[in-house]
Amino acid sequence: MTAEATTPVAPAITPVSDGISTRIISPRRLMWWKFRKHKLAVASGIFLILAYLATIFAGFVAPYDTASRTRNLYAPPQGINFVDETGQFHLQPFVYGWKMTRDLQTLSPVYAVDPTQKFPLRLFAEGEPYKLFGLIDANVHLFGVEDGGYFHLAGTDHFGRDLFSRLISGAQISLSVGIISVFLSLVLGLVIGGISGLYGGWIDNFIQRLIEAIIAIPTIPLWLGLAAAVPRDWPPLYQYFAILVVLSLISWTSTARVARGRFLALREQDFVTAARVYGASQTRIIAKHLVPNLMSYVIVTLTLAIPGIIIGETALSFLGVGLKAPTVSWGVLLQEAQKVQIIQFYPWLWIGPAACVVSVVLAFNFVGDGARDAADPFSR
Amino acid sequence: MTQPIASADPILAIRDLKKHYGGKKHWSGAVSKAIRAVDGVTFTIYEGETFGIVGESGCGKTTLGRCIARAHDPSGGEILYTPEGEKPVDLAKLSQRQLKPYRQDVQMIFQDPISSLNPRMTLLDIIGEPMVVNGLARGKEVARRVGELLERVGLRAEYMVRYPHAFSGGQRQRIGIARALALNPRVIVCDEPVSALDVSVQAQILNLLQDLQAEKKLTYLFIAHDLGVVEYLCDRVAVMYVGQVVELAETSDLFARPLHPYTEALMSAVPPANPRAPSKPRLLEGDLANAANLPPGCHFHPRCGYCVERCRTEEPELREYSPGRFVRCHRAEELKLDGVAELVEASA
Amino acid sequence: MLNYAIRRSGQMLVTVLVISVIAFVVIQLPPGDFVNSYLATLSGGNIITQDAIIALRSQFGLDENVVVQYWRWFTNLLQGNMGISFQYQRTVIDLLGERLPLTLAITIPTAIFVYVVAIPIGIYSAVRQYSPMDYLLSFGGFIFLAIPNFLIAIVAIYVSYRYFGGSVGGLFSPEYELAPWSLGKALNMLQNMSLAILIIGTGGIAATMRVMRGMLLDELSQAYVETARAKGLSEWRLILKYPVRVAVSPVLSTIGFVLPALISGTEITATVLNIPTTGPLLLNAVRSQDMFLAASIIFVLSILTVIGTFISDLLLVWADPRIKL
Repeated sequence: MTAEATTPVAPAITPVSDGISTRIISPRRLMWWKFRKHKLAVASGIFLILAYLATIFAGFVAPYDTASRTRNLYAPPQGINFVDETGQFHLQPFVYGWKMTRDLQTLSPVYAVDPTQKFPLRLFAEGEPYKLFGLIDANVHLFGVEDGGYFHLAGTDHFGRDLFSRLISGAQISLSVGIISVFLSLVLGLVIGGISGLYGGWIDNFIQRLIEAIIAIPTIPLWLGLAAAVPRDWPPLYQYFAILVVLSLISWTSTARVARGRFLALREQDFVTAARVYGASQTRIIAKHLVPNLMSYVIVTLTLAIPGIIIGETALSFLGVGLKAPTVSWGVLLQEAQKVQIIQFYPWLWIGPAACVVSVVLAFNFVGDGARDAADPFSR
Repeated sequence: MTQPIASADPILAIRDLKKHYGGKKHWSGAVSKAIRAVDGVTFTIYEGETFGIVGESGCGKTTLGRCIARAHDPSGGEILYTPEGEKPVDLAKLSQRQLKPYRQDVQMIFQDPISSLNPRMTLLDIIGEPMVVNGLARGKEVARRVGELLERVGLRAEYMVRYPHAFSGGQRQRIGIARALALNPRVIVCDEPVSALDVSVQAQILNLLQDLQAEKKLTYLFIAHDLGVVEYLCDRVAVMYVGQVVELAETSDLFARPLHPYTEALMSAVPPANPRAPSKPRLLEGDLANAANLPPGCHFHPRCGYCVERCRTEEPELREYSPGRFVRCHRAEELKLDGVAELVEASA
Repeated sequence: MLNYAIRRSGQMLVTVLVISVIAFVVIQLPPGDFVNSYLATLSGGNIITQDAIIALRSQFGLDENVVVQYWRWFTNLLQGNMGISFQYQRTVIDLLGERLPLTLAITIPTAIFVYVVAIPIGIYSAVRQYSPMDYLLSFGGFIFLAIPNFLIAIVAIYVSYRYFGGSVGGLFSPEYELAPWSLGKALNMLQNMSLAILIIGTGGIAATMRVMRGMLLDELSQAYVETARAKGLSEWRLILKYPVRVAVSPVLSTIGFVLPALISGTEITATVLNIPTTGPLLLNAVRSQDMFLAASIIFVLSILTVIGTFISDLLLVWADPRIKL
């Protein structure tokens, strides 16, 4: 027991003795401690929580509406400055405006920093109206500039739409797809893996062959094939769910395998035998003895599966068979950035969504790594 | 060594118990080889005694124990249990639902202190669940009883909020014993309960088991491979080889003068207490017989130093050599086998 | 060994069967049947005539129930008749024959590339654990694991445009596109393919390297390694001779997962880079709901995976004496 100066948790305890207080360390707490040791995982976890919060409060966090157009088409990102051109330091950061000219040969807009236009940044600024959670009217944004100014942290696209706002909007789709899809495959995987591991015999054999077959099929071609089934003319919400289902249909296999493996191993454990001997019903054994002992492994598998799903949706939308405009997801944004001049001259339009995907995927990978270390708190 | 509680009432009669694995027909028509883990075991356990079963790893003793506790379903044979004041019931034939009332009477403690306790449950849950499942107690009553049990096995009641990982091997075995006692059983199948413990801790647990037996009038089926432990604790012992009982006798008789060559070999392997005394272990050649591919005749004959032609062809029966002594060997009358001399002297 | 091969072949057949069912489901999913889709796109000057349509209907039993359709399709498939692509106005097998070799020519070298690079890196990383190089490699591994192939491809295109003024993509650079075969053209093709191989391989290398590192680390802590050291073997020699051989085995067995991933990566990267493999073909087929083509591609690619895994399993069993048959 740790010799921490904390008060005992369970009231039923009579203090042991000599000033050493005890704290009941459950296996869950042990796992949490082990996870905490993995600094990168913790940092990634915080990042992800912030990212998901941003998607919930999307209207608030984004300075502009997803679809509103401004005058500055194809404007590059504006940097945040604290020091102005005269070398003077301002506590309140600001951005410079653009002076736009046209390249006479290509007719594309060229932007130069215009020191005469300074737009100070403000927190909790008033801006375009939006509906928080789609219900409450509001117009306060996390940050913004005063009237007449503009602030495009990530640049604008060919309609002058603020990319940063669109990225946050895209995050709503891309991130939610990951979570919901993984939840579906959790349920599928647990049930199927459980049946496979607990009943054995020909059911197990059949399910294993099925899983092998699914794994053998290259993922993206299979997704492409399934995505083809989604009718073009369905409303965006249905398409969203259809894509969700398609992605889940493949990813349940890894959960099922892990669940099956653990069920097989746990079946032989003495505490399960003991439960049988004192008359516990099969249901009770599954619920109270088997499932709690495999949840940690399943969670690890799921955490590591989310990046695959997010990349999957991005890839499908990028190829044009997933979600489509006007739905905004990172994949759709990447798809819109697929013209040659864009790639070459306005790289922020694909760097933005790409960076978002990569950072979220990296974060999930780190968290998954930390979770994997923590899942077996008694190892070593 | 305790005096056996003399009681002539049989409490568990095992008749020709069998547990076979495999032997099933594959859809292609092939039949897989049956593994006869328990191959026709017969003996009777009397109320209040400690009945030992010894043998090498893989001889089927663990499977036997689990069949008797109905953790597994036997492939054949009878398990005749006599509840208090009632007629014997064949547990082997009962379905899970019919079995439920009898489960309380026959409980089990396990060998591995780590896997025998659910790491995700507190001691309160672990020891209390049997009570809850069988409707013996609820809510606060459970906590009260669990506290009592913990104290009885030598732990403190306040430990019930803790998790198994906080305890040592010996303490975990005590928890396992407390769990087995939760239902006030009459018979406890002890599957090598001290094999995984340090020697000093072994002694404590064994003494605890003895105390509990005297206090609660328990009957033990004690499975072990350590002859020293068996000699200390058991009233009668059965020696198993590859799924069959090859010898059955009272402990002192068995150790003083074994009748079966296999028993003799096991005895000779017990190191003498005097390190300077020469030990002459009778080494067995070859490996344990393969349960899926048994030799013809006596299963032990390829390794037996006293093997004759008859042993190679004719399988011996388990027969009563003298009252209460059984042996499965053609030559039992002729052989003069050595036992463990010192143990005989000590008990004299 | 032979027994094992036979048993595995049996399993393989079952897997192939299941895959064929899945592929067939893919065909059936879009609303309407193939012929309707085709008719909807009819325009003048078709090579495929009405008679061919009727033949198609009867061949594939398009008017009958699903089970019959499946059976017809599967038996036809085995005989090499995979249906017709109305989009391209050609038989599927024709199209596949054109595109498949290039897919293989990219995927197989990539697979070799992945293992040839990842295993040494993994070994080094494990032996010199916690060294700066190890951190660098592990970090790099994480990054490349996170970046999907097609993004790397986009970055490659960008970089080449921005800094090399060149155009990346396609199997041949513009100047060689229509030129007759020559050494220069061949080299150019290899160059473009190499870029593709490099891009596709990164994810596989990252994953395999980590597995190798993990497996070897487990082995290095074993007692037999210390024994060998105590007996005086030189460090690298003993590492390569003992723990590496043990650790490599499970790494090689991952090919069952790596191969589908590589094929998948090839398809999408080739689409981005405009290399004429089955990738762009599949994408177009999906877009226009040209389902016979789409399903056949999926089926054939999967068979490749299954065969590849089978071969590697045999090699593994032959090479690793621990595996009991």
